[in-house]
Amino acid sequence: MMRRTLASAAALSMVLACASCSAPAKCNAQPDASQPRLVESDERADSLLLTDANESQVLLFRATLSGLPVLWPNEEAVQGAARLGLELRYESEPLGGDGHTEMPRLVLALGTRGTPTPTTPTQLTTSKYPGPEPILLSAPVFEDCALGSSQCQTSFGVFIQRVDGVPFPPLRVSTRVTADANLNTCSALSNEARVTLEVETP
Amino acid sequence: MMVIASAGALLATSPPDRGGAYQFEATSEGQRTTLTAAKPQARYLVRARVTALGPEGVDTTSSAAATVHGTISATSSEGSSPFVRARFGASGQMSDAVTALVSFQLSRPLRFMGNCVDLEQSPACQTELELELALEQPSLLTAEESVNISWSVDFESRFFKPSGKDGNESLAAPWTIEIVELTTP
Repeated sequence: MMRRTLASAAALSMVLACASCSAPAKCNAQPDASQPRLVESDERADSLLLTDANESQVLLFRATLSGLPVLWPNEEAVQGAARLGLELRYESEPLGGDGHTEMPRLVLALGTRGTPTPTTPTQLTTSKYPGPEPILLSAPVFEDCALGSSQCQTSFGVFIQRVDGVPFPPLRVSTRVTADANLNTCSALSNEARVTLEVETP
Repeated sequence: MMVIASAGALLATSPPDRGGAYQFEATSEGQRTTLTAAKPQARYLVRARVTALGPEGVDTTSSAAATVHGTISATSSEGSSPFVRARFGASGQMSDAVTALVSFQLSRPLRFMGNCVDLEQSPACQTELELELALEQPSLLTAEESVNISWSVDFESRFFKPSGKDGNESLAAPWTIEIVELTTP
């Protein structure tokens, strides 16, 4: 009799434990479980040499957000960003990039492309005395991700143009590009979510 | 007693709750420096001497700063020309510096010494700073080539109106500016 009671209690506790494993219940019961979760891609690094005035380069990328839960709480559940970090150096002394050395300015633009709605690129012109911190630029991605989608994709481009030519020496431009997404969904449901970033050829 | 004295000093230098400020400005005459492979650096002593108090008898040296502006042109026939390093402060001292090819701007706060309350009494109320212009890579120039630097120094200071009157007023600083080229030791 005692053994049967213990077995029943164990079975009941397993059922209860299993019920609390269900993701929606967990999100409802634990406020922390619905905190926004940041998912980041690997970094894509590149380096290019710009020598003359108006010389430019375009880098193209495709960011994919996959593994999304089908149950979206609202249309703002996914907020993504493409991020560009840039460092400038001369090939020989003075290397620059220290906030005290004059360097040619660059025009930078970062924006999505293709259909359905290419965004207005985020733009900036670099300082004549850029500091040691990377120059940062970001633009929204995954904006057209449909409610309930399990996967979204955004193509975006980075445009880099040297403004000033001689007497400035050739300029080494190092780029680091990432994409990320902030998921305002139940973290228990979005554990499978990930962002991948691929380089596209023009 | 020291606490009271410190608090009193703080009150004397604190801006009033309301009111504008007198903004004093002065600019040196334009200078031109030519650097070559044979003479790759030049040093200057920049001196500002106060000749009068401001309106309401205010001190015109409060929150003073100097900014040197320069533009660079090279007679180098090749595309590459040497960088110019502009630096405030004597060699070997902690100093601000920029390294430029086309244009530069360099600022430094000024500390006036002397009798700045009674200007009739000596020592004179004045400030001095040293400016060095030097080629980073003189070897890039041939014997015939040179780098020309056109530069000037802007000075500014400000003092809150003791009367508490509103509005900022820009005024010519009652200072004489003197620039002397120093010989290289």
